Formats: sequence, structure tokens, C-alpha cells
Amino acid sequence: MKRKISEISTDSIPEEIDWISGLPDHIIHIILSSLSTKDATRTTVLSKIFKSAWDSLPVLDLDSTYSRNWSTVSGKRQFLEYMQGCIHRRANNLGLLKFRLQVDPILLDPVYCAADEAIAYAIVNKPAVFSAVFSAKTVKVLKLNGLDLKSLDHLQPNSILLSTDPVSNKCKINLKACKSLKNLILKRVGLTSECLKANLSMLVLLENLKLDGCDKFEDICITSSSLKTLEIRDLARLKKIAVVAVNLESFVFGTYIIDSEIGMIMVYHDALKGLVLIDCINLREVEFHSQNLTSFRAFLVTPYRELRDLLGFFDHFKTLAIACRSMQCLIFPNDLRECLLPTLYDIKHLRFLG
Amino acid sequence: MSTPSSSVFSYRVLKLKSSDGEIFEVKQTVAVQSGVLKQMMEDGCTEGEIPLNNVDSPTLAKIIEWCNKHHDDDVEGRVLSQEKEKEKEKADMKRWESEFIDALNRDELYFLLIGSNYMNIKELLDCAAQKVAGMVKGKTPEAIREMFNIQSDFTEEEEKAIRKENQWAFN
Repeated sequence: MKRKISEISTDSIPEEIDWISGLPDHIIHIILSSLSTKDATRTTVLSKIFKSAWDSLPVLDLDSTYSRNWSTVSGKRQFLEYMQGCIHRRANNLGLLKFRLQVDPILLDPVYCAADEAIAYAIVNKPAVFSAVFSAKTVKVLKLNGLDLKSLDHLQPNSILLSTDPVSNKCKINLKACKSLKNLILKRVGLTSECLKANLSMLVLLENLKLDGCDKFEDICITSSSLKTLEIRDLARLKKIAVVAVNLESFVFGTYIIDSEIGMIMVYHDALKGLVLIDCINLREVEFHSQNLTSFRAFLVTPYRELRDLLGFFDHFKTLAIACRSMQCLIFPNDLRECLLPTLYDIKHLRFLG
Repeated sequence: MSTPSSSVFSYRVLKLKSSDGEIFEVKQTVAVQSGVLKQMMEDGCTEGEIPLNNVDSPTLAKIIEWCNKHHDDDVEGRVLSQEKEKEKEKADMKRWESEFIDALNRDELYFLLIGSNYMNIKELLDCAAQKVAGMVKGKTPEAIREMFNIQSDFTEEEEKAIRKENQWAFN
């Protein structure tokens, strides 16, 4: 490094060298990070070096309140385009240190799509995103893949869809801040039963819960007075389910895993209107006391004798649909047909689905 | 330094050689603030003169001045008992830092950025970068260009497009 510049003079002379453009990218990044987003944005026009430094800055701060213009009906299109521009210009594997998103509640639907896109971008660049400051008061649906939910303080979506890739199936979530959450979908999330229970106890408005492929759950105990629909699928290690949810209207339970050990389900709910059981090969006993149940779908492999017993439980039903993989189990031997009493008295419509 | 192993170094001195050949002697306890020198000490390769090809003598003098000031001299047995004292010390240090940085001219600041980056002294680098940020803050692109003598390499159309895209920041 030569020190020619300062030897000439310390006063500014017009023919001096542009020294700031000679700085390594990451020093420019430190400088830009120390500036407000507005000041930093203005530097993009200085020269190509600043423009590219800005586009690779590990800080992404999108805030619709930065311009009054954006909060008007005509301005929301501009904010949308600005947001998308910011994301599309950036490389996808940049890695982020900080991600901040704030969208004015006045801005409606189209902006939410872009907000989703922004969050999706942040999640791809996840390593440092965990220290992110999320502050999106208006994001309604949050789809997260492979992210530990620890800092959702300012984010209060109605719905959260959380999924992790099967390889790194480890996750901890804390939904304490999401008190208004209505829909929660956990897909292949390596949560423990305790962690689920602790989180559910805080979600007092939760209406729809779906657990899919979360193979750490062994013993699920769901206690919620707000829950209306519950769907549980593919929980390989599940041994016991207990559901205490007085307002539950629909319960779907499915397992496609052959060695699933689940053998017994008990549901006691007067409000329960729909119950679906899918491919529960080892299921030996289902007991439900739900007077208002009007729809029951069981996808079971059952010999005719058991089918007959099973049908007996539905004698007060008006409509019944039976879905079978093979019609074989529906055929009763000739010699038995005469001596067996009909099991369904009130039935008006009986449908068989192949 | 607070780590026990480093107290072994306390009386040792490193010989740093600037790009223009001047030798500076620095106590090891002071030199650990540089990530590069710390690594060299840990690897045990600090014998003889350590050439710092990217740092000239005026800059190195400044960097050493900074490091001496920030050197945590617990090893000398000084203990700060009172919280207040600690806070006062912190405020004094802040004042010293801003005076130190403000006294630099633009070129000295540039060489300090490069030098602290090269020697990996994060605190100094951050402090110098913040100074530059302070100079940029609130200024128009034209003023910034003039201040740092930046020549725009955009065509008129390109610049217009960028301004339009980020219009909110220019209002």
C-alpha cells in the first residue's frame, strides 16, 4: 500500500483518488449497516460498487411506513414493486444477518403475497435469520420451512404452517406471542410431545390443528376449548392420543405407516360432527361417544363379520358411506345372509365407494 | 488480558514491521486485539519481525495507539469495584474514541479502515466505518460523491432507473 494521497495533501483536491470505492465489499457493508435504511438506499445511485454492495447487504429491511406514499391506495402498488425488486435483485444464497418486515395494515392482499415472498426469501437465507427482528403486524399466514420459531414477538399471524426437511428434523418453537393464532399446521416437525403441549396451552384461540409426519410424538394429549378441527396423520411413534376439546367438530386420524403401534382411540365429544379414520391397520378399538356425529368415514381392512358389528353402531344414521379398497370384505357368505338380522334400521342412503 | 494463558505473554514483545520498513514494538497483551496477531501467537510464529505489508508506519502508529488505549490491563492488578467507576470509564473511552477518529483526516481514515481490516481489529474497524457512515448520513448523492470524489459509472438512463426504483429514499 502506497501512501501517496496523504503525502500530497490532506486538503481535498479535485483530482484525488476515489478511495471509498477501493474498499473491500464487506467494509462497505459495515458502513451501510451503520446507516438508516433510507440513507443506505440513497447510496445505490453513487456508483456500481455501491449498488452491488447494497444488493448483497446481509440486512433486508422492508417497511411500508418509510414512505407516506406507500400507505395510500395508489401507492401500494409501488411498495409491492419495490419489495419484489429488492428481493429479486438479491442472490438467493446470500445469508442474512437481519431481516425486518413491516407492512402497514392499510395495505391489503397483493402486498401480503409479496410479504410471503419476502419471508420465504428470508427463510432460504436462514443461518443468521434466527436473530431476525420480525415485526410484521399484518402477516396473516406464515409458512416457514426449517426455522426455529423463537422470536415472533411482533408477528401475530392467524395461521402458521411450519415444516422442516426430514434430514434436519429438529425444531423448537415458542408461540407464546401468537395468542391470536387460529390455524396451526406442523409438518414433519421434530417437536416433542411436551413442547407441543406447552405451546398448545398458550394458544387459546386455536381452531384448526394439523399434525402431519411429526415422528417424535409418542403420547399426544390435546386439551383445548377452542379447537374445532383436528387432523393427525402419519405419526409413526404415536402410542396414545387423548383429545379433550369440547368444541371439536371434526377429527381426522390417518396413518400410512404399517408398524404404527396405535391400537386404540377414544373420543368423547358431544360437539364432534365428523370423524375420519384412514388406514389404521393396527387399530383394534375405536370408542366414541358423540351424539351429534353425522359423518364417519373409516378406511379399514375389515372382514365382513367385523364390518357387520361395526355397522351396528350406526343404526341411527340416515346416510352412510362405506369406502373399501376391495369389495371382497363386503360380500357376506350366502349361508349367513338368511339368518342375520339387519343392522341398520334408519338408514335411507347407503353408498359404497370403491 | 483476562485469560490465564495470555498472562504468560505479558512481558513479551512483538516486533511489527510496517510496509515502509519501520519496526514497532508491541506488548503481546496489547497485540491480541488483532485477530491476525492473536492467531500467530497461538500458532507460535511470532519470532522475529512480523511484516504487515498492508499497513504503513503512520497508520500502524495510530492502530497501536488505539490498541494501547483499549488494552485491558487487569494483569496489572487494577480492579474496578464500583459500577459507577466502570460506567465513567466507559464514557471516557467513548469520548476518547470519537476524538481519536475525528482527529483523522480522510486519507488517514481510509488507511485505518484498510489496516484494521487487514489486522482484523473489529472494534477499530467498526468505529472507523461508523465515522464514514456519519459523514454520509443525511447527505444527497451529489454531496457524497463530492466528499469522497466518487465518479459515477452509471449512464444517465441507469441512474434515472435506480432513482425511480428507490424514489422514496430521495424525497
